[in-house]
Amino acid sequence: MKPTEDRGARLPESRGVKLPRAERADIGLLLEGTFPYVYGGVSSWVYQIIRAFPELTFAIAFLGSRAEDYGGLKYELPPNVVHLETHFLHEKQPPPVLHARDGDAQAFATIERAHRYFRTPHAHRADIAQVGELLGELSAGGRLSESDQLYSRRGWRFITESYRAFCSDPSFVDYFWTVRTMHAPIWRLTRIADTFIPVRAYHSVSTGYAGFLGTLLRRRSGRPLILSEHGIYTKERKIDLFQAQWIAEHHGAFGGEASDGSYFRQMWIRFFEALGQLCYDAADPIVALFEANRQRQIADGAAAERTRSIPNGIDVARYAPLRARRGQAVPPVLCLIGRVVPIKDIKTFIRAMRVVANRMPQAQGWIVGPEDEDAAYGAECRSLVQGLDLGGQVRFLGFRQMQDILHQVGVVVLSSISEALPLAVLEGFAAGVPAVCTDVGSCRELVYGAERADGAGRALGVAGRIVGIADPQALAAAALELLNDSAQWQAASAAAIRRVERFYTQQRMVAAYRDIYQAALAANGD
Amino acid sequence: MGNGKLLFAAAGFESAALYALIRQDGSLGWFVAFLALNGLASVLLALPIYAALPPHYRVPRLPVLAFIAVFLFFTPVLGWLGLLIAVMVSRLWPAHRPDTGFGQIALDAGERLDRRPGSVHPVREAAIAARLRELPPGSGQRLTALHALRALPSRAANPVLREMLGDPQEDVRLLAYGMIDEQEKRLNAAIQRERQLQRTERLPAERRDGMARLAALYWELVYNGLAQGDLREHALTQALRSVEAAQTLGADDAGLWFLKGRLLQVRGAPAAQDAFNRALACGMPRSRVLPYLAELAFDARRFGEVHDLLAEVPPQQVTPRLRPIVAFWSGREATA
Amino acid sequence: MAGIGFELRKLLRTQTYSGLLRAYAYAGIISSGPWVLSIIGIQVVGVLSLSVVVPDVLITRFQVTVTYLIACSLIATGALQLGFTRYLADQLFLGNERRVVPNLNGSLLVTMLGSGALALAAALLVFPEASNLYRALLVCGFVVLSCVWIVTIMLSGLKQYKAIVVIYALGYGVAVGGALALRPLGTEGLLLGFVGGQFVLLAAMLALVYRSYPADGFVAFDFAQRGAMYPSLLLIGLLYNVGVWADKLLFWYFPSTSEAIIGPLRASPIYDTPIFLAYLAIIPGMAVFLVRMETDFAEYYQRFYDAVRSGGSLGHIERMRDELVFTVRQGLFEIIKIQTLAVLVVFETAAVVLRWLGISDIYLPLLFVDVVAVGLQVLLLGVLNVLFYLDKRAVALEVTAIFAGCNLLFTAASLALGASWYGYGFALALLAAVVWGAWRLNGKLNALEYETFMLQ
Repeated sequence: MKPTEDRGARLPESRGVKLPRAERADIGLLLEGTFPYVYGGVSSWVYQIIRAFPELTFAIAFLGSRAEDYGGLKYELPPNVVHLETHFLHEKQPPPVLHARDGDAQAFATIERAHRYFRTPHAHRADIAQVGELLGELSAGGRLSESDQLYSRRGWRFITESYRAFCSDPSFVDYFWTVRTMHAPIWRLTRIADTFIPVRAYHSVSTGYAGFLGTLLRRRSGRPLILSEHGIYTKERKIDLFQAQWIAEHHGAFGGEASDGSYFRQMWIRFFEALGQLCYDAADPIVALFEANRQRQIADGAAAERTRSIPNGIDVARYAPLRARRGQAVPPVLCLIGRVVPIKDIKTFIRAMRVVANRMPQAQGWIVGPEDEDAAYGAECRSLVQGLDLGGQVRFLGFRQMQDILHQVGVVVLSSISEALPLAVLEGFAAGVPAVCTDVGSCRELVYGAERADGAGRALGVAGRIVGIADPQALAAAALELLNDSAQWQAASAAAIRRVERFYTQQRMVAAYRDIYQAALAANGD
Repeated sequence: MGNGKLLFAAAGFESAALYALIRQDGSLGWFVAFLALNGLASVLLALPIYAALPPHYRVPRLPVLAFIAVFLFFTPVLGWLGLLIAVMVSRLWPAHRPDTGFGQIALDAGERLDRRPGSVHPVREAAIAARLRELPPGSGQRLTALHALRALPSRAANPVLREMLGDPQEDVRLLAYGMIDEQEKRLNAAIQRERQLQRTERLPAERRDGMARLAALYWELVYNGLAQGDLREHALTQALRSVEAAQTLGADDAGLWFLKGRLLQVRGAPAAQDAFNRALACGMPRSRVLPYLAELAFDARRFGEVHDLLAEVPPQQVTPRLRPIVAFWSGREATA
Repeated sequence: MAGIGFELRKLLRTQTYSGLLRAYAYAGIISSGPWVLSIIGIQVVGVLSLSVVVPDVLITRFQVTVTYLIACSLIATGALQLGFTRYLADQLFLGNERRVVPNLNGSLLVTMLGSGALALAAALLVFPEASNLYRALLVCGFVVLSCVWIVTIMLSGLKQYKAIVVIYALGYGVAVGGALALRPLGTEGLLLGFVGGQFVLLAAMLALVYRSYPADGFVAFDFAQRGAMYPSLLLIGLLYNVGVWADKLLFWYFPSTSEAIIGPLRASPIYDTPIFLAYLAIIPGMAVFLVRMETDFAEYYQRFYDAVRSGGSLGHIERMRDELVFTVRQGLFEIIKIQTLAVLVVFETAAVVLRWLGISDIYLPLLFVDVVAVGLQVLLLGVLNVLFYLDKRAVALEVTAIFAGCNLLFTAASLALGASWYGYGFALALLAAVVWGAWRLNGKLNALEYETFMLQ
C-alpha cells in the first residue's frame, strides 16, 4: 500500500541504479511483481521481514512482466540485501533459431505423463515421478529444449493430439497460442534457475512463477524452500482471468462453431493450479496469513502437516499517538488506503461516496495510494468522480505517510474484491479508526474477531462493518452508521485497538519467522 | 518565368528536337542534339505540369518534378498528354470515396429499448438463476451456468449477476463481478468520451447529437440495472438533463421524446404522458408506445384506458414478455 | 499483490499468412498473358504488312526489334515485378493504401532511369546503321514497356479485370491500327505504331491506378528502403524471366542458328517461328489455369486461412487443407489434360496449318517439341503461383533457379548436339523445374498445418 518510514521512504525514480551483486547469500527471496519495484501490502511485508533479520543476507530474484511496467526501486534496499536480479517474463525474447526438427521421443513421452499429472493430480499420483524427471530435463543441456516445443514435429503432434483429446473449444489457433504463451515464461524461468546464485534457503512469497522458480531451484540445489502466501495466487489469477477481455471470442465464423473463451480461461486456471501444486509439493513450511487461507491451501493440494498460519503484524506503538491527536468529534472522512488498481475496486468506493454525499454533504472521501501502477484504471476512476459530480467530495491524495493521515480519518474503507490480510486496516485499528470492509480475505476476522476455541477473538468486540462486494449503497450505509453515531463509533474504535494489540503485532510475526529461518538454515542439503 | 512562357519555350525546344530527329542525314550527332533539346523541353514542361497537378500530388516537390521530367523525356511529343489525362481521370472519376472523417450516427432509443427484452424468452434467466442456486458450491458447472448468462441481454442477466455477488463461492462472486464490471466499464467509457467531446468546440448539430447519445447511455445504465439506489437516481437525472439539452439545441425527433417519456415514467412524473404524445406526433409508431401509455394509465388507476390501449396493440407486435399482460387486459387469447 | 499482467492481446498475431498473398499470386499470370498477346500482335502486324511494306526484311526488323524490346524489358524489370508487387500487397494489407500511388511512381521513376540508361547506351553505341527515329523509338519503347510490366502487375491487385481487358484491347488496338496506318514509313512506322499503342496502354493503366487509390503524395521511395522488399522475390522474378528467354537468346546468338537483322539484334528464324507459334497453343491452358486459381483454389485458400485465423477447429482446418490440396492437384491435372489435348490437336493439324501459312515443313518437329514445352511452362506457372500463395519463397526460388540454370545448360547442350535436338533443351529444363516444383509443393502441402503454425 504505502511505505511509511518504517517501510522505506519513497525513492525518486532510480532506473539505472547499479543493483547489488553477490556470490552467495543466506536467504534467496523469490518475488513476483512486488518488492522492491511495486508498492503494496506484500512489498511492505517483505521489507519488514528483511529489516527484522539484519544478521542474515538476502538475495532477491525479482520477476516482473515487462520492464516498462515498473518505475525504479520503490524501496531503499536494506544493506543486508546483497544481491538483486530482475527478470521480465513477458518481455519479448528473441525466439530460438527457427528450424524444422523431429524432437526427442523419450522427452515427449515424459511430457505426456507429466501433463496427465497436471490435469488431475489426484488420479495420477503415480506420474509425479515423471514430473520430477520433466523438471530435470528442463535445465540447460536437458533433453528438452524450447526449440523442441516450438518447432519440432513431435511438438506439433503433441499439441494437436492434446487439442483433439481435451480442448472443448473449437478454435485451434487460440488453443495453439494459449499453449505457447503459457509456456514461454516456463522456459525463461528454467534459464533463470540455471544462473541464480547459491543460497542456503529459498523463500518464495507466492506460488505462480516465483513459486515455480523456487520449485526448480529446490530441485536442483536440494536447499529448503519456504513458501509464504499472502493472497492465494491461483485465486488472484482467476480474478485477472475473469476480468480480462482478451480471451479470444469468435462468433459464428464457421456455422455454429464459436469460442466463448471459457476453455482457455480454464486452461490458464489449470496452468496456475499446476504451478501451485508443484510449489506445494516442494515447499516446507507453507505459511498462510490466516486460517481460511490455510484451509484453502490444503484444499488446493498442500500437505496439511506442512502448513501453518502466521498473521501479519505491525508496529502498533508507532500509530498509538495518533489516537490522542484526533479530537472528540468523529472526522467525517472516509479513507480508502490502497493502490489505485482494479482489484481494490476503487470505483465502488467512489460510487458509495455519491450516496454518502447525498446524505452527509460535508463528508470527504480520500483515496490514498499511488496511481502509477495502472494509469488507465486511475483515469477511469477520476472520470467516474467527474461523472458523478463528486469533484468536491472525493480527493486523490496519492502516496502519503499514514502518521499524517489517520488521525483525520473517521473510517477506513476497504472496497476490494479480493484481499488477504490488509495492513491498511491494521494501521487504522492501531490508530483507533474503525473499518468498513468488503467480505473478503481475513476482513471478517479483523472486524468481528476470529472463531477461536478460547473465544478470545470474538470477545474483543466489533471493530467496524462488513458489506458485500460491489455494493456501494450498503457500503455507504455502513459508513454513515458509524460516522453518525458517536457511541457506536467509540465502541468500534476501542475494539479495533484491542484486537490489533492482542493478535497483530510485529513481534509475534517476527518471532514466528525467526523459528522458520533458523530451521531452514540449519537443514542439511538433500 | 510564367507558365505560359515555359510552355511556349518547351514547345519550341520540342519542335527543334523533332526536327533534329527526323532529318534525313541521321548522324549520331543529330541524335545527341535531339536528346539534349528533348531533355531541355522536358525540364521546362515539367514545371507547368507540376503546377497543374492537384495539391496532394505535389509532394514531395523535387521527386515529383523529377518524375514528370523523366516521364516526359522518355515519352517525347505526346507524353505530357498521357500523364495529364491519367491525373485528370483520377480527379474527375475517383473510384475511392473521399473520406470526410464523419460517420453516420443514428440514434433511436426506442429501437434499442424494445428489441432487447423482446428477444428473450422470459423464463431463461429464471432457469439459469435457479440452476445457480441449486448446484452445490464448488461445482464447476455453476461457473458455466454463469457464463451462459452472457447470451442473455444485460437487463435480464444483471439481476442474477447482482445476486451472485453475494455467493459463498468466491469464483462465482468474482466472475459475476467481472461480468458486471465489464458492462459498467464500457458504458462509463462511452459516457466519458461523449462528455469529453461536448467540452470541445463543436457545431450545434454535433452538440445536439452528442447530448442525445449521452442521454441514451445514461438510460442504458438504468435500464440494464447497472445503477442502483442513489446512483440510479443520479443517472436518471443526467439522462433527463441531456435529453433536455439536446432538445434545447433543436432536437425534435421521436426517439428522444420517447426516451424522455420513459425517463419521466420511471421517475413517476406525470409529464411522461406529454412526452409520449410528442413522440407519437413526431412519427413514433403507435404500437411501440402503447404498452407504456397503458402502464401510465395503470399507474393513474385509469383501468378502462389500460384495456383500450392494450387492445389496440397489433397481435403480431406483442413481445413474449408482454403477451400475458395484453391477453389479460384486452381479453384477447394468449397464444404462445 | 501486483501480479504480472497478462499480455495475450497480442496472442493472435497470425496475420503474417493471409489473403495478401493473393494479390501478387496473380502477378505471374497477368504478366505473362500480355507478352503472349504482344507476340500475337506483332505476328498479326507482320502478316498484314506483307504486301505493303517492302522488302520483307523491314517487317522482320520490326518484329525482331519488338521481340527484343519485350524480352529485354521483361528481364530488366523481372526483379522489381514480383518484389515490388509483394511490397504493395503488404502495404495494402497494412491499410497504407495512400502509399500505393507514390510508391508506384517512385518505382516507375527508378525503372525509367534504369531502363532508359540501358536503352540510351544501346541506341548510342551499338546501332551504327540505324536511323535516329529508330533509335528514339528503341529508347522510348523500351522504357514504356518496362513501365507497362510494372503497372500491369500492380493492376492485378485491383481485380478490375474488365477494365484491364478494355485497356489491353485499347492499347493493342492502337498498336496494330497505328502500325498498319504507318506501314508506309517502313520499320520505323510499324515501330511507331507499336510504341504508341504501348504508351496508350500505360497511360490508361496509370489513370486506372490513380483513380483507384487515394494518395498523400505523388512520388515516394519507401519500397526501396532496406528490408522493404523480399530479396528472394527479386531474385525469383529475375530468374524466371531469364529462364523464359535463355534458350531464345542462345539461339539468337549461336552463329549457325541465327542471322543478323539490325544492328546487334539477331534472330533465329528456325527456332523463333515454331516457338512463337507454339505459344499460341498455351491459351487454353492459361485460361483453365486462371479460372482454377481464381475460383476453387483461391476460395479454399481463403477458407483454409480463415479457418486458421478465426478459430476453426483442427478438424475443420484439416478438411480445408485437404480441399486445398485437392484443388491444387485438380488444377494442375486439368492443365495437363487440356495441354495434352492442345498438343494432340497441334500434332494432327500442324502440317496443314503451316502449309496454309506458307511456313516450311522443316519447322514441324521443333514445333511439336515446343508445344509440349510451353504446356510445361503453363504447369510451371501454376506451381509457382501456388507457392506464392503459400508464401514458400524459398521453394519458388529453387524452382526458378533450376529453370533458368537448366535452360541455359540444356539449350547449350542441344545446340552442341545438333538440329534434331533443338527445342529439347527448353522442354527438358521446364520438365526438371516442374518435377522438382511439384515434388517440393507436395511436401509443403502435406505439412501445411505444421509449417503454418510451427515454422512461420
